[in-house]
Amino acid sequence: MNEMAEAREKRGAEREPLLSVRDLSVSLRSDEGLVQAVRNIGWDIYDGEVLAIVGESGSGKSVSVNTLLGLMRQDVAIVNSGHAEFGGRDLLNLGERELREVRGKDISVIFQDPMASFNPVKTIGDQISEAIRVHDERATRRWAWSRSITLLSMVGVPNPELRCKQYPHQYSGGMRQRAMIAMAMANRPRLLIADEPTTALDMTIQAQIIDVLRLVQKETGGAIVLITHDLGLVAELADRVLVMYAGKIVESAGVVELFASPRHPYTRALLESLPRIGDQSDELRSISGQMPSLVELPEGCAFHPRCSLSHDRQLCRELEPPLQETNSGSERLSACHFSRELDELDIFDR
Amino acid sequence: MLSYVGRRLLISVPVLFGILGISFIFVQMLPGDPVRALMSPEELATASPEYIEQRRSELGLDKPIFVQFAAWIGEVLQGNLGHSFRRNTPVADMIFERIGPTAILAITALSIALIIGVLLGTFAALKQNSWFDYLSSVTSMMAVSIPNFFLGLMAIYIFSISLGIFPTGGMRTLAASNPSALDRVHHLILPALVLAINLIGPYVRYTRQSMLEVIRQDYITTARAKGVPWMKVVFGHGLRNALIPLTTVIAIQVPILLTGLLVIETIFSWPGLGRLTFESIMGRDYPVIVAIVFISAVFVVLFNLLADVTAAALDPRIRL
Repeated sequence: MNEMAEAREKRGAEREPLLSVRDLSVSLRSDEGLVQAVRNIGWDIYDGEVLAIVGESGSGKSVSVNTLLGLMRQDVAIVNSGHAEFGGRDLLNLGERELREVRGKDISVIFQDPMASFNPVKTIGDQISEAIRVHDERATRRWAWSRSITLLSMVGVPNPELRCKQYPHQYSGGMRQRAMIAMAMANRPRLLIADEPTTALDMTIQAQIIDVLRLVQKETGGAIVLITHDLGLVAELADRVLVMYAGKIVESAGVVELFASPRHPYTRALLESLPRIGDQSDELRSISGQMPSLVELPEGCAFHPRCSLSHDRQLCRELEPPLQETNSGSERLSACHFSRELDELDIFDR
Repeated sequence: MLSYVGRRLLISVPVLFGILGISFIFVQMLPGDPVRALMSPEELATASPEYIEQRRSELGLDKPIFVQFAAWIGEVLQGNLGHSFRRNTPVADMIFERIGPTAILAITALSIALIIGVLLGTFAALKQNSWFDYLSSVTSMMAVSIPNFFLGLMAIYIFSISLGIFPTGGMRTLAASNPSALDRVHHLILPALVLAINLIGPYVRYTRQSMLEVIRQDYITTARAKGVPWMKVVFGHGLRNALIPLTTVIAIQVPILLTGLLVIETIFSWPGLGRLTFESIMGRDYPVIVAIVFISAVFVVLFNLLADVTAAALDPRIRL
């Protein structure tokens, strides 16, 4: 991760990152063997920033983030290495008690499936109140309840007094995700992790939730880590993007540059697979092949079997490319031996 | 919620009526002649067939079976469960005086079994595949497998006769005219424990199963992500969800509890319905048997109702 550190130093005397992840590796136990879910990744996030982590299912995006908060099952996930500096402490070195104080207070999470993420036998008001009271011993039941009502109205849940007394099954999917966001922002966290916040929702609701997330960010002024495979959502919300493939970061760039000129063939393929208005083709473009098994990774670049750029070159087959600056002095990082060749290709050249 | 309870009650009525009919028919099919059973051997040796017929018609046993059944239902609806053949007292009175001791024993045993079973099952699930998990599985399996009469006799032999810690039976010390509450508890512990041991097994297994499923749910991760301590997550969020399927298991187990009562009350000379059942079967006291079968059916139906209502109280999605 020296590359990342150097890049950071080049930025000069900038502000300290809010959260700084270094050299994180996580394996998961499975029936087939140890899955190398996250392999030596590192990233920073700064106050007020929206950082998107993009990748297909199984690329390690959720695992990398849930590990930081100790939310992975201990009998499944093994943290092989890593540091995660947050407010002068290493999250990966904290005891359960200290970590619990961070969870839901300094860092909170919005989960993917609002249907399953609320306890079905407790009212929404109870569940939001709990998030408040667990971090504030002085908060009375009544005070936490009225704050819950305020929070619900902030995220645009109509009739919040009544809604607080209702159970999750009485909410629609979109309303439930709003309530989830309200619960996550209850303690004004400095960092909000949104794990596929719109995946389980239909398109019109997705747009509403994006608006709510924007509003939340304005309200709390905190940073957001947005985990998603939806590039539309990335374009809407993110400032900076990390692209993950097979447990590694393959590209890191500002959102505008990433969409304008991707510097990794995987990112390029992802962008090409987006359906476009005016496209005459009847078929959806997809990336041929599938992600390699993370139990037995291929030699060389993990993407080379599916890569349109590799042309079966020896370098791609034998050497795993490091994440490095695309041009010297650039903040853009890419893990491709031939990232410069992408300049010559037109992204819309189909 | 109230309309839910009302609906469940209405559904219970035909069930009760059906059980009433079936149990009456079964009892009619029992071997043995109640008239002869009522007479002492000397009386029986000297009695003329006419005298026996006369006794039979006095008891209404010569009437067609449907008439006997209809007459019985009519009486039951008025709270009259008939007269005992053997004791010439109203069956309702006999049952009424026995129901209290049985309720005390049953509720104590059920509470012990539930508390221990749910706790064991919960921790077995939390420590899945640990030595504790295996130990609790093996123990609860053994607890189910040992017949309760054997367990009862062993308990009496070890704790009452050899060690002398607990009394061998009864509800209170007979010599004491006004026994203390402590004395009653002292008598209650052994039979209640023996009865509970037979019930614990399924509670442990179902709680474990249910808890294993629940703690993998997303809302458990949500609660942890809020910073709630793990034990509070387990008991505050997990347990209530895990108990919902357990209510059905408890209801299904009620017949096992009732037969357990029959054996345990007999062994421990507990003056309850179970021992009355045993005595009545031995004496072919038909009205008492039919009444007890009916009461048991009422209990089973009531407990099922209670289980449904409890499930609805635990789970807002059922209250529709």
